[in-house]
Amino acid sequence: MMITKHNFEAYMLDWMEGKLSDQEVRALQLFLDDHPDLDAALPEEIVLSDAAFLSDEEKDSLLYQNIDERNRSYFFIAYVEGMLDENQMKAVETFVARSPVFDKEFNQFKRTLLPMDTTVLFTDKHALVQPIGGALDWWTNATRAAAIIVLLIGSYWLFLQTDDVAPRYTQSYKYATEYFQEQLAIDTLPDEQVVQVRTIQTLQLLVEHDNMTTEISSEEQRLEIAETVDAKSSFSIDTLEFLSPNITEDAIADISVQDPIVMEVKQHDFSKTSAEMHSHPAIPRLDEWAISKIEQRARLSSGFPDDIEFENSLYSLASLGLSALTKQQQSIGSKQDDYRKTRVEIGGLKFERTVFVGRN
Amino acid sequence: LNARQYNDLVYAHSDGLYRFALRLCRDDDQAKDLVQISFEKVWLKCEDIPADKGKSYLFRTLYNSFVDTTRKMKPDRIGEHCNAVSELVPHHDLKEILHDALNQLPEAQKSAVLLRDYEGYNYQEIGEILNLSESQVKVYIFRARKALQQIIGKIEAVL
Repeated sequence: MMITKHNFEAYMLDWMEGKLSDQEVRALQLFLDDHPDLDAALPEEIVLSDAAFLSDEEKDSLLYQNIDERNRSYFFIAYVEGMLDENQMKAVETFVARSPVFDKEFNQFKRTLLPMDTTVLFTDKHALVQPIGGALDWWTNATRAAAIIVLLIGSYWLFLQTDDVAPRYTQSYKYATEYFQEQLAIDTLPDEQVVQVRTIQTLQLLVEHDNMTTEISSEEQRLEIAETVDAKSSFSIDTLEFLSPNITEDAIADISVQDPIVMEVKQHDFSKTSAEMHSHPAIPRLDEWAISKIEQRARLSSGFPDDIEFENSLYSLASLGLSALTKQQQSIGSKQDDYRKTRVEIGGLKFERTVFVGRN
Repeated sequence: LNARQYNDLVYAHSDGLYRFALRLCRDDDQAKDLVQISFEKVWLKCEDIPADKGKSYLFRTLYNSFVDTTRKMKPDRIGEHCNAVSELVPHHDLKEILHDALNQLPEAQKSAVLLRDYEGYNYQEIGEILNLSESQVKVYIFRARKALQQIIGKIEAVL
């Protein structure tokens, strides 16, 4: 590139940053010599900058001993622009300290930095904001969901390959019950919606695995997953509610006053072993009751129920009856059978659930 | 850019964009219009804009819109505008002196300094926004700082 009157300042600044080759430095020197009207000059010594015997430090020292009247403004601006290193800045400060005139000028350059007026604000932001959940967002979330599914399937496959390493579980029965409850709520939705939320079931299965717990077990991540589902389903609000532990607690509180069977089951300490759980005398009766209610719900409603409160109670009851859907149970987990996959059809609705049965 | 990222841009950069526009055109209504237009254009093309380029795309869009608008304005109208602002801004402090001095610089120099000081862009980024080479940006910033220093010097001599 040719050095001209229109760009020589850029070369001056590049030279200060050490970005010019020796050939370019010579070209710049020649150009400035030919144009004394530009009131700019390189120090004499800079021409010798290619002297191989000089260290970088010596070159710096040599260079900044030669800040003079004709090139000082470049140094001042380079200083203000933050182009100089610590040694170079000290050299400029030493130079201005020798002359009050240059010191004043240097300070004027410092003041050319424009202070941002943070009191000036754009007050119509709300008019610019776009609603979330458009087609583009749906696609982004769908892509994200697909990536999560692939990751989880891969992780689960790896888990199945490592039978000799028994996974460590810390969840109690209470925890398993809560998941069961959520899964039941999800499973009783119409088929097309069940397909969408199955990712969550798979995810919940893997959340229990020790290796995955730290990654996916937080409430924040659960909600993020719920949002992913949200982008794909029309009943999103209800789904989100069922993914919330608060709803679960409320629902359990509701059913406690409605049915004596539930009261009896709830009084049992569920933080015990699987065998104790299933041997409880109230369980079969509760199963029967819950299945009949699910069938009733399936007959009455083809979509998501309007009566959320009733449904909450129903799901809670069914979830307490842990053996309700174990008729076609098949083990897919480790030797300890901690994961159980259940397939059953009730009232025309297909259920496919993976239930975690925790151990203390 | 998706909708969420676009909205993040609104909250993070609409103030800075508005300040930039206001300094460029010195008219509140026009500055707001420029901000509005810029975000609209970004939203319409958001599928093609990488998330990390959203901010520079916004500033470039605003600058181009401003240049287009200025070209369409009659020269006498621009003159009226400058005079009005000069009269409205008394030289009470350095900030006002500087901003008044800034208005005397050529448009490209002024924009380069604003983007440098207000938004902290490097020379390459400023070049992308203003459609200039990095070398040109350095020249403009050098000349702008020198001009501003001289204006400050003259004002200090009077005061």
